[in-house]
Amino acid sequence: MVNVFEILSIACLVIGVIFLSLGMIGLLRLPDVYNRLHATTKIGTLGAFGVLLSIMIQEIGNSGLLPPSPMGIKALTVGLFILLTSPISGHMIARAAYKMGVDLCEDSILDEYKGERKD
Amino acid sequence: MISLADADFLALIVMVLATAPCIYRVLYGPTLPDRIAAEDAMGNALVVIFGLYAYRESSIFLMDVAMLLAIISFVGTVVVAKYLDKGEVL
Repeated sequence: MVNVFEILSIACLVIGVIFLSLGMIGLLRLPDVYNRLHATTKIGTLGAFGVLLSIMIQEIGNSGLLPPSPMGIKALTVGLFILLTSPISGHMIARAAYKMGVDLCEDSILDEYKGERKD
Repeated sequence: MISLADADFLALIVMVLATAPCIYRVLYGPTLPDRIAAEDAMGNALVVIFGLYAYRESSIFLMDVAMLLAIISFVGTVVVAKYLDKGEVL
């Protein structure tokens, strides 16, 4: 007996865990603050949202779609909040880092914002 | 055959292990935005840990803790980024 909710939740959970682990490895290994931000913003969008969506699908599989269970709705709310706010915070950190004057790594070949840095 | 509860528990273990690079980057990060980015990533990982733990314990209040932690992590990151950008918060 193959349950479709089980397969969907396992797929979302595996995607979320893989992206979160890759983001953490990127945070540890990449050479530059901008490269590290490029890795860590994937944690918010695909990693955390994938795992929380998996929790919601498991909850639907346990207790049915109607009436919706409070745990699944809360998990989906937290996931959507992270999905909306994680790119904003990543962008603000990158902008603050560039305005502070954090240099790019030596392997960089292009800096399109070069003239707009203050003082 | 691995069951769904075992998969959740394995995911919880992976999440807890995945906060170690964040702690390393917060402690030894070369610049200040590195530390803030690591703090933001650790906030997201902690939200996922709280969510999975709330589902395993079937406790709704721990999911409230996850929601509150997500909001506070976002607000804290934005405040520190604006402070680094302009030198003042508002």
